[in-house]
Amino acid sequence: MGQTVLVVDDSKTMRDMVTFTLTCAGYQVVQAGDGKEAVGKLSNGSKLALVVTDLNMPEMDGLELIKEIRKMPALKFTPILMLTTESSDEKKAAGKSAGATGWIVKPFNPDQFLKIVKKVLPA
Amino acid sequence: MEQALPGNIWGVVFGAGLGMAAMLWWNRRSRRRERQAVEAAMHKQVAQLEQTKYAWEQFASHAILLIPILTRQITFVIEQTEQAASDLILKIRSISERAQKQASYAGSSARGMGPMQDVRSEAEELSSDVSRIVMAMQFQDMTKQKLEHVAQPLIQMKTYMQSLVANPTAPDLAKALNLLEEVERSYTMETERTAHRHAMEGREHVGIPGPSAAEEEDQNVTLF
Repeated sequence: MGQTVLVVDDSKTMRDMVTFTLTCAGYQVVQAGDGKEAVGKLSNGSKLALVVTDLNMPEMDGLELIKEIRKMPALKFTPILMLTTESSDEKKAAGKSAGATGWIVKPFNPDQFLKIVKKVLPA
Repeated sequence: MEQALPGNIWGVVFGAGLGMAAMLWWNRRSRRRERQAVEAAMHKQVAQLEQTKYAWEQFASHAILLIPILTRQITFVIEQTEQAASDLILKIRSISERAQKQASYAGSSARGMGPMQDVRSEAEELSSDVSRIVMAMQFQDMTKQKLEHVAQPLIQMKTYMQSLVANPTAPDLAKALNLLEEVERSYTMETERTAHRHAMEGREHVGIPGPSAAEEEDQNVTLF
């Protein structure tokens, strides 16, 4: 059974694309439509290998979600990749200080995306 | 001499009186004409203001009705393209699974020889095409975001116009409109910011060149 990845995006198309890419590579995927839903799906004992999240979402955005995840002891060091259309340095710096592991600007290339996933996942 | 004087005096007094009366009449006539001219100008201004007010009210009432229709059309396009993208993903998943099966079958049965080798390279090519399709299909999400960034200020404009029609002298109304800055703040893509800047500068639309594939690969990923 593959490692579990939480994919958070308010766009169903994007969630499906990321899920498709990850499941083809053998990962299991849990989806959420925004930060609030993602937090609701996470409990302190959650076994997650990776979180892939969008930045701009209703209810709770990606930066808030990262801060919430970092408060959870079990997920304190879980890699978090931002996958967003936002490319400004200012936002990237905000992502870094919130605790993101990496920043990928949409549209993503599935092969490149999987390389990054493998790179950030603990061996 | 002494007797002629009173007659002259009466003549002078009568003449002066007549002159004064004429002057008073003239002054009154002039003032009346001035007042009439001012009133006419005021009536003209009021009529112009009424016309302007009517034109703006007409515009606002039409815009208030039109904006929800336009935003609904935008939402409809977003929903339709999202549905189409979802359907396509299902098909791509099926194609990709079949390609993987073919590749593994060709790999296990032929060990890289003859027609099976062709099947395997075909399957690999198919897999690479699927990757490209996945990348291209993400433009649905990007288009969706751009359309949302167009719809949002339209909704704000509608709300503003509704307030303006209801009470044009409301004290907070004049400072409430900050659409340009809010639109700029809503952008997430560099292409949106560039298009905005070009429009503000009055440049003709010539398309915004994107980065090359190699540049894109470098710029798209940042690991902290």
